[in-house]
Amino acid sequence: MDNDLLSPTLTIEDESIGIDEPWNPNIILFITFFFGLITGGLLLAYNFGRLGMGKYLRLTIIITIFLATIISVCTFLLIAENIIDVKNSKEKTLLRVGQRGLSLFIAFCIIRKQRKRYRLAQMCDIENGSLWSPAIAAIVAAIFIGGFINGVVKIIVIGLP
Amino acid sequence: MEENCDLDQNFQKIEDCLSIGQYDVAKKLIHEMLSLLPDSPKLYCYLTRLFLAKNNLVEAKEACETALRLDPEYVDAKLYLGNIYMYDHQHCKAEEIYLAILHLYPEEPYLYLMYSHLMYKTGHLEKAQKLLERCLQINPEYDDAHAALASVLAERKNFFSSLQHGKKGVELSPTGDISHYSLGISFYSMGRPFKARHHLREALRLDPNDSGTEKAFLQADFATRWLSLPVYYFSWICDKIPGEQFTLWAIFVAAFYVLPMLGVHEKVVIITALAYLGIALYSWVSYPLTKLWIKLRPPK
Amino acid sequence: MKEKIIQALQSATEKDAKNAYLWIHYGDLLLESEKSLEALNAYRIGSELIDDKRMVYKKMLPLLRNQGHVAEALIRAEVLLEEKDEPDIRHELLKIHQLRDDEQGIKEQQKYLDQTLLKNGENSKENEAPEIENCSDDQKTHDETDKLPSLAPVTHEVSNDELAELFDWDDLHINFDKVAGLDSVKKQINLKIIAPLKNPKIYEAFHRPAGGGILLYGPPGCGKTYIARATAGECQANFMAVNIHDIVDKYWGESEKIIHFIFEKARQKAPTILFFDEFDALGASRGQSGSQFWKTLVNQLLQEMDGVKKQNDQVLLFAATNMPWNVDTAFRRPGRFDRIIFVSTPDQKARAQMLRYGIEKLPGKENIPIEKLVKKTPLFTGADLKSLCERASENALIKSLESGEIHHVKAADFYDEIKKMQSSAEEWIASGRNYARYANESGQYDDLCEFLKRYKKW
Repeated sequence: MDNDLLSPTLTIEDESIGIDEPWNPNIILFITFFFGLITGGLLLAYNFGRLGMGKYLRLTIIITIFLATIISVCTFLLIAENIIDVKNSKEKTLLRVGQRGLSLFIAFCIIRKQRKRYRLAQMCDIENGSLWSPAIAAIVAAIFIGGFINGVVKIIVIGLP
Repeated sequence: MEENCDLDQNFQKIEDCLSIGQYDVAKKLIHEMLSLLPDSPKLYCYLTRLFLAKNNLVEAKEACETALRLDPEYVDAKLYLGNIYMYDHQHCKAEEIYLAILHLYPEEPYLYLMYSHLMYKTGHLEKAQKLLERCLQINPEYDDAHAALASVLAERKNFFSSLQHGKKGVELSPTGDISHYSLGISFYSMGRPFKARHHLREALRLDPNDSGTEKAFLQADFATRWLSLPVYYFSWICDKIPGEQFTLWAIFVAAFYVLPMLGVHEKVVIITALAYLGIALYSWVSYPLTKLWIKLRPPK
Repeated sequence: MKEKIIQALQSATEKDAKNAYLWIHYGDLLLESEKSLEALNAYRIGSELIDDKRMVYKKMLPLLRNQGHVAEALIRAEVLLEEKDEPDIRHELLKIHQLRDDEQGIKEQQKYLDQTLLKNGENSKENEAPEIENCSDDQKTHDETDKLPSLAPVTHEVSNDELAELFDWDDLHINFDKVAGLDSVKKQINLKIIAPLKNPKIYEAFHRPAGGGILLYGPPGCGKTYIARATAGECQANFMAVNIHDIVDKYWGESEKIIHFIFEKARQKAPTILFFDEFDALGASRGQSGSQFWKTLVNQLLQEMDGVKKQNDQVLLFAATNMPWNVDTAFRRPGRFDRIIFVSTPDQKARAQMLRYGIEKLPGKENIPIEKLVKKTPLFTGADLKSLCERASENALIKSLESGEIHHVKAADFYDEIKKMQSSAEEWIASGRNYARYANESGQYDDLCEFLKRYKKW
């Protein structure tokens, strides 16, 4: 007989303590697709809190803002170096698609960490929280944060108009 | 001797009342018996069972702990306590108890089944599978274990084995709601929604008050409406791809840019784009339309 | 000498209560000493403890039959036959069928035994099936071939007088006029129960016998028991209310006898309405319980309802249940509970009547807008409405106590209480809905479906 079979497996992470009306990570993925990395990242960060994994909350916010800045820097560098011509609609679309793809990839990576806990919440019959108002708040916050990051990066990379 | 016989008969009576759902009669009998035998852990175990049936975990735990105070080695009470901990989402404590009993009775299939339920619940699917395989090694005819293994395998995307175990479960217990439910789930995850609907409907007929089965049946019924059938198959395929529908989107976007570079005619590119948009639009529209259809013609 | 051995064995069983063989040997000796009841008990315990149950069950069969546990004997014999076909069990089954006057069973067993005899070429008298035609009732019960002692006195057997005291034999003064609403239920009961009693000739002309059964189901507190009593009052019949506690609770092991007694009494006092409350408890599906006891009980009840030996004319069966889905399907066959009637929550007219009755003696009753209250209490049961009246009047009562003057009950008191209250039928409707939706193959819950649709609960 497999010896591992009768040895303990569960740890404190397998308990449902701290889980409180989590949001469905798959829906956050769609929000990220439509409203960008910062919106999705903020929601995912707060979802860590709702899943009882508060230690990842700040880290996720930092990583999200950091990666959003990197993407912004790359975008402006591509524009500054004339690799992408923003006046060309095809190239502009490609740039936007690229940004979206990257955002999705990052969101996927973060969600991987949430899936197990979210499944546990479902198994423990913990109801999902509503995403309407948090999503609207996150979109508004993302507009400001994104605007600020893009503005600063633009000044640094391209310079003042 | 007669007293012994009466006692046994009374225990049997309680057992019967509990099994047919006559909880009030059972409660009365247990209290009557407790006035005669206040130190009987068995009676407290019956009380635990009664409270568990009524979803009263607090009182069930209290009764169970009393049984264990009276006889700390009473295995039934330990097992009930393990179950209570599991239902109360105190998984580590439940595991501790299950393991302690399993070390005492390593050949008891029911214990493996319960422990595997705990593993399944907490997402340790591989261990759940191993436990159920061990359980079936001990008792290959254990219908509930086959049904549970079918569900575990379906979630692990091992569809063929899942179906095999689901079918075996139904074969061993043709009137068991759990076996039909598991087979239904196996069929659903295999991409056979009509078969899934049939078995989930049967499971629901056998136990109409199981909310989980009802949810699964409604999902299968939704999938079998011709309006949402293409969407079901579309998402079934997406489920198999890492990144799911977003990968498909990425492929489409890539194709949109790559195809013209490869010299493919513009019309083909536009048709590809329209096809993708059509699928996306259909997925969005079919959902509320099917919902409306269900409202007008509820499932039977 | 044998007595001493028995005593020694008795003390041995007390010391080693888990020793199956000891119990069986003890049973054998008791049987030899013509203590058949104690022997049966010992065998029962032995059978629980031993792996080879078949051997013990075979010993138990004649004892069960002779002690009147016919239904249990029948089931055990059938189970044994399913496992392995043996001529002695066939013989035993034949005797059981003879006791039950089950002609079809007798024919089947005789045919089988004749075939076996022909096959084996054995015509010895020992194996010959007993003659039925020449068997008197007495012979049927105490078969000489058994060579068993006569029926030993049952230690916890109850006398018929004691039993009679248990049940509620009412002279009823309520009738349909006192039942608010439920018009369709009354109509169906009238056609099935009351009219055949009042117009026997008409029913005879249509070859429709009086009697039969009605199973009432619905949410608690909607007057199922009340309408059964009103039916008794309506047709001037005796009313006998039977509860599961009367049968199962008090006399474990004697339940079948009690059931038989109840039916016998009902037949004697005919016309009688035999009312089984909480019928799901008594007639629980045999598939739900693994226990032999419930199966035996249900079989006995079915047997009495069919009136195998006696006619059940003028014995009207009523049963009420909140959970008809838990009732064994065998009870729904024709001749048993052939009408299943849904007793819904009261309709508008009935609610108005109930509210009027509820506020009749309250000060300020003229200020209460009954029609408005009726519209605000769509799924309220009779019990809920009664509670509503009580709760609404409490406010005025408290004020009256404080001031020492009589305060009138106001409409606002009722509205406030309605907001706080929820119909007690809601929970039942939630579970009933699923059965009506998913387990209504034979259409037995069509009434319920209609009701749910009407109240938008489907």
